[in-house]
Amino acid sequence: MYRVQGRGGTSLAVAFVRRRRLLLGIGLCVWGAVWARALQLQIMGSTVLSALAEEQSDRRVCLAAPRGEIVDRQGRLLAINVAKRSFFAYPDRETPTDGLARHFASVRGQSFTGLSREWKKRHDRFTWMLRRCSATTAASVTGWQLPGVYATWEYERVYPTALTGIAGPLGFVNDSLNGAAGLEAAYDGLLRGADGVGLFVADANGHRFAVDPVAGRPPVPGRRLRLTLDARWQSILAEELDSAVTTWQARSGMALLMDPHTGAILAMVDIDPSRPPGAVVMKNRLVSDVFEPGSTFKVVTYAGALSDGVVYPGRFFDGGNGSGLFSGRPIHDDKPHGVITVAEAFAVSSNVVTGRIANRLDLGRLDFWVRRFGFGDKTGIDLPGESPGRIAIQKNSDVNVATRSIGHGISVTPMQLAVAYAAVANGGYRIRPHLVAAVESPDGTLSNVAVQGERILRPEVVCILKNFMRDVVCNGTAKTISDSLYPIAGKTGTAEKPNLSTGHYDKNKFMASFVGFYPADQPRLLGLVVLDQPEPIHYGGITAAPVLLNTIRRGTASDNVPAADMRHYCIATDSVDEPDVDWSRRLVEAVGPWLTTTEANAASDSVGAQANVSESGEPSGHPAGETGWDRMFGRCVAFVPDTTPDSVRVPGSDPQGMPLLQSVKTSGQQDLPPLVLDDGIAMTQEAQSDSSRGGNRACRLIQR
Amino acid sequence: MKLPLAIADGLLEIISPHSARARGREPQPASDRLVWFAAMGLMALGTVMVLSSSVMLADRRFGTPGFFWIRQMIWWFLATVLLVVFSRIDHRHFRTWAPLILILGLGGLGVALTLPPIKDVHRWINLGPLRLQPAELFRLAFVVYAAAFLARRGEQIIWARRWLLLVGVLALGSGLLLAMPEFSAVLTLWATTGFLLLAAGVRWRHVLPSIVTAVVASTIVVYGFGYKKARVDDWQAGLTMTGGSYQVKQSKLAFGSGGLFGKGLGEGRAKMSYLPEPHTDFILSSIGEELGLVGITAVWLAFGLLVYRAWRAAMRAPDRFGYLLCIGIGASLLVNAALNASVATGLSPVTGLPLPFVSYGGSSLLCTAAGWGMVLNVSRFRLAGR
Repeated sequence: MYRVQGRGGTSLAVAFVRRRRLLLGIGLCVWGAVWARALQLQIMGSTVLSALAEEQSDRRVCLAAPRGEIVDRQGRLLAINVAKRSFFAYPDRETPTDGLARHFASVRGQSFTGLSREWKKRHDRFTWMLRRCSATTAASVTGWQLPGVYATWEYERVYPTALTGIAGPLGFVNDSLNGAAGLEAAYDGLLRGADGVGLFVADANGHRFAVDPVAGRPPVPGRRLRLTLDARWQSILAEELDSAVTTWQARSGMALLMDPHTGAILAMVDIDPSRPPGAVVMKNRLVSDVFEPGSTFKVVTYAGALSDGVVYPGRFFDGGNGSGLFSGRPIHDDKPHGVITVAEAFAVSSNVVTGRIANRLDLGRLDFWVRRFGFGDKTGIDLPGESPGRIAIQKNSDVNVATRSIGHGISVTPMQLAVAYAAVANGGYRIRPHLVAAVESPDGTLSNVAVQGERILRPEVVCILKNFMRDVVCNGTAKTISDSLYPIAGKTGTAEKPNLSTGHYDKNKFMASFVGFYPADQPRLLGLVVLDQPEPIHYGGITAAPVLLNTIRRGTASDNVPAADMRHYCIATDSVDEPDVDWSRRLVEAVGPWLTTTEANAASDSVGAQANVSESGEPSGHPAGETGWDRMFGRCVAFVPDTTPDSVRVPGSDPQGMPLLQSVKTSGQQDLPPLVLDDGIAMTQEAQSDSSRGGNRACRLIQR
Repeated sequence: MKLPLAIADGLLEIISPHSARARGREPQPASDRLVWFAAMGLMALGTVMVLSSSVMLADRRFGTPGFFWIRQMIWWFLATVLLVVFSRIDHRHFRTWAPLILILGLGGLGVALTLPPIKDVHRWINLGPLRLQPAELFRLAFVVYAAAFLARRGEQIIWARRWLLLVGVLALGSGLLLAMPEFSAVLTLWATTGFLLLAAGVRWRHVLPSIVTAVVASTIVVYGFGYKKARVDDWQAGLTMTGGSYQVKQSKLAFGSGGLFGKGLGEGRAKMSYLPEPHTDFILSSIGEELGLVGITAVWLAFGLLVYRAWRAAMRAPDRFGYLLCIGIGASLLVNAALNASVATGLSPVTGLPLPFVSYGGSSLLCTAAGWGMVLNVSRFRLAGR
């Protein structure tokens, strides 16, 4: 069957050997050409072509980074994120945008035609369809199974703690989750984190093949902010302020609690009844709005006058029975006062006497102290939109000095005022207020917020001012909050409001304020309360001051802290932001370097008493009763020289005027440890231990 | 000869060449085993690649990921059967059956043209779940017919009146194919005919003028009258590295992202609807993407081997018909594969043409297998002393 017919076959093959070569040649050419083309595409063009291929099939999607949480000092959540579904599309030339528009028009609450037109205009490939929608909407959109529409997670900012006034410091975020106000804006860079990039593969119709985003870059969550704010104190302060605003029918109220040593803000409340509930709070009035502080500002005048040595606490001034002329212009007191001491003038908040005191400084010197306390300059708090206040440049006339000394003709922010008082409360340091205690990254590291402090007051002046302020509460304008269990020191303010349209002060509109600290001797808490137009009573001591007392009562009571132990109780500090406080430096020394010989003699003469201090610290020649030292120093206590020469400067030329300092110096006890007395009772634990450890003798001056 | 016995014999012969003798049958000269293995290897690779490239398409279109693959497996099995059967049928029978086969092929074309169009074209005959592509059958039929025709003319091919018959058949077939339209089939038909004429010893003075005329005429038609100028422009753009029409561009992207070793089986992206026909006309692109230049080279070597062995068998053929049959079927494969690859790599304008043995499609696979079964049969013959 398969036998070969040799003859024909052989001749055939031989005859076409040449044709066979031709055929093979043609075949080889065709074969080789195609293979060479494959070689060209797959080796030479591989880089370019594979890049193009990836470009068309890779889809990039932004993987939202969760914004950093904001917690209060106890870790209570103040701002968190809630993950929500978002939908986006990569419309290409095959995607019917009309179809997308038809589906999404209803859920977006837009008209079909408008949406369709809008999307047709978009030539870029990435388009948000729906952002952060509800779960039910997300379910229905997923159910549509639209090609080219993808889902991803985005976050929504939620502030779970509905604390009154918390929106002020926290601020809020805009639609893109970028901080728009408050801390959210100030720390936006840290809170925001870094969005990641998700990469997935899609087919030519936009169908997504990889279920989870593959490769790409994972999102980096934002840092967590631990605030100095305490939600509990915040709510107590807010409630108390709110009730005061209601009681006194005030237009609005602001209040603040902070640690005077560190500037850590514990609570910050801004209440405005006219603001509709749920309204966006764009600014924090405590730092962005200015007001004329009135009498609360007097602490600057007294601090300046005492520091410069132009007055001393026991110096008498004529109160002028309620009014005094300055450059021919009258300044009035609320109540008439006769001849009173500087200390008494502070306690009763006499405008006339304060004006007289200020006039012993000139305007330049007064402004020096004003600026030294930080007015006219931003406090540096970590909130956006801070106002530096305004110190008007004025002619150096008696009336201008006097008005400024009582807190008029100057605009300050409540925060600046609090910082000024903090300097008194913390022993003379100007601190930078702040709201953030720590910035925590996901790996748990902490970055402390640096606290800077510059000494602006000498310790002895601080001591005197503290006692002045204690007297305000005990005997002065803030007697309403005198409570032996809660020793608060402070200063009231009742300022006429300037009328911007008339350019004068309104006689019946007042800004009532109170700034105080607690406990008076070892302040751990500084509070500021401002009420705008309280009615019918305007006095800061009656309207504003009780807010602070009530807040402290409630705040410390719920912690079961006896007032006596308050100094050991860290209300506002924790290990994170507690600075290295040198307590011994903080201890107050006061010798009365302001006493020049003449004045001392005059004072002594006028009260018929002779003051003397022995080296042993026992008072000598101290008359019993309400005269002598009592009149001389008011309720001031005493002190001991600082070992550093700078801190006790002796103004004036006559060393004879400083008996205590002199006696100390002559006895060679230059390194005498400081010791503080208050109301004739031996004082601080620290000082005692210091003295016992050092073996040095204390020097006491007992008055009363 | 009974068919089942033939299949069994053929398979046995492949597995163990001496088993036939052991079973007491008359020993047969072995067919070319290289051809067998190359064809089977290509079909195996084709099945794998059809699976890899059609899963997503099938899933989306039919909801059955294995829709194309299962069918291709069946076609592969039937093709193997055909290969064995035709290798057992003495090819010289086909010389006598040639006119009948031609009429069958032409008839298929006619039926497809008279039936209502599917997707606006007349390319298929719908038989329930099956779709026959009569063009494939016609191509094989024409090769058989042409081989028989040219064999009858002897060693001297002269320009005589009988030529008109072959030219007429070619023209008729081309016309029917163009009406379908199956432009690529016409192209391969003519190219194959060219090879056949060359092998049959046609004189150069007969061939060259017609080639020159064809080239000049087509140049005038394209550039002078702008007929299908856009197509030609696309083609020229496709010759660059990244340009070309959408399909060509996608195909080249697939080749390029494959690189030397490819992305790995199943890892390709071109099949994600980027390539329009990843399992049929553009399966070579899928191979290039997933198996790289290595895979392409393997496929190409297999094709080269097949053509070479077919033409080698032609040289050893016992008769002029066998010689021309092997030349024609080898040339048909070469032309088909080269044109398909040229389209995929952007070397030629886009035409729809399956890659023989590899692409999905029953008609193509079965007709190719039948043809190569004939080649296998021819390869059984050995000429003494060569």
